[in-house]
Amino acid sequence: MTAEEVDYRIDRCADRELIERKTIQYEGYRLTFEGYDCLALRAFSERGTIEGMGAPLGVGKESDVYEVQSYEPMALKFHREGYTEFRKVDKEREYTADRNHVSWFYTARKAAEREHEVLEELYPDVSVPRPVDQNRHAILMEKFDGVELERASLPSEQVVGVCDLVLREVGDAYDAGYVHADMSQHNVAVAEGGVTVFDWPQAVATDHENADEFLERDVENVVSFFQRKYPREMPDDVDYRGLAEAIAEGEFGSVTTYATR
Amino acid sequence: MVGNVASVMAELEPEDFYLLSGLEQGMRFSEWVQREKLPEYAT
Repeated sequence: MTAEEVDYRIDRCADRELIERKTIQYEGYRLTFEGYDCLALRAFSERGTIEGMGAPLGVGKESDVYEVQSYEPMALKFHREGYTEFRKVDKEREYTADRNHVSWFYTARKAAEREHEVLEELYPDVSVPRPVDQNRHAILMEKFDGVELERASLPSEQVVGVCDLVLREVGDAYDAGYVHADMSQHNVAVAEGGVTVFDWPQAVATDHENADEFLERDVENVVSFFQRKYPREMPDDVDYRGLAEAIAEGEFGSVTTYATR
Repeated sequence: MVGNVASVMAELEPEDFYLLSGLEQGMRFSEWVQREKLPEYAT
């Protein structure tokens, strides 16, 4: 591109907040997350995996999810890892400028690659969103039904059953070689047909040295959520460690077996 | 908070994407890409 063409394109992209400018020391530019989103969307549309973008499905601390049109409605997740830290340290960074610089979009892209890889390993043995495509910091998945566990109001008689269902997915994932490592009421969806566990970028392999600690923490997070929200249906005390061990051994039946009182 | 780029996508021209991917190339080496280097990256 000629310098004049570049000037013109810089203005267009800056007006749309796809790039940002700095003028201290020298005139420099970098992509914003919006600019990086456009590059990923462009790649998907050139491959024909996405035809149009729709409404936001969810906004999280470390990702944004949109409904997109493909041959069927799908969910497009943009990873945002590194974004907040990057904003915070930005001022100090000016000094050390480019040494040891790991860009936010490198961090976000690695997270997307990792999540896509884990989903490909787990699907369909574990109830996770079906992975379809990945580019840069974005992954395209089948849209799944259900309400976030946090927001679901389970009828009394289903509480223990749903808790067991979630723990069974944890067990199936372990069997397939992974521990989620960030299980909570925010990354399980509950629908008529069952549960779906999502958000896997931080998953660790079961041969990781801390895998069993992560598993125990995941189990405790799930069970203690059910205990807090449904105290009448759930046992007061549960042997989380014994439960986690049973899951790792593939011997898990029901959370009620691990009630200590 | 990152904005929804759906409407922006419809306005972009191929050359805008050349600039964006040129910037992406340059950012592999430094957090900010010097103005003078953009014409060579954005090809």
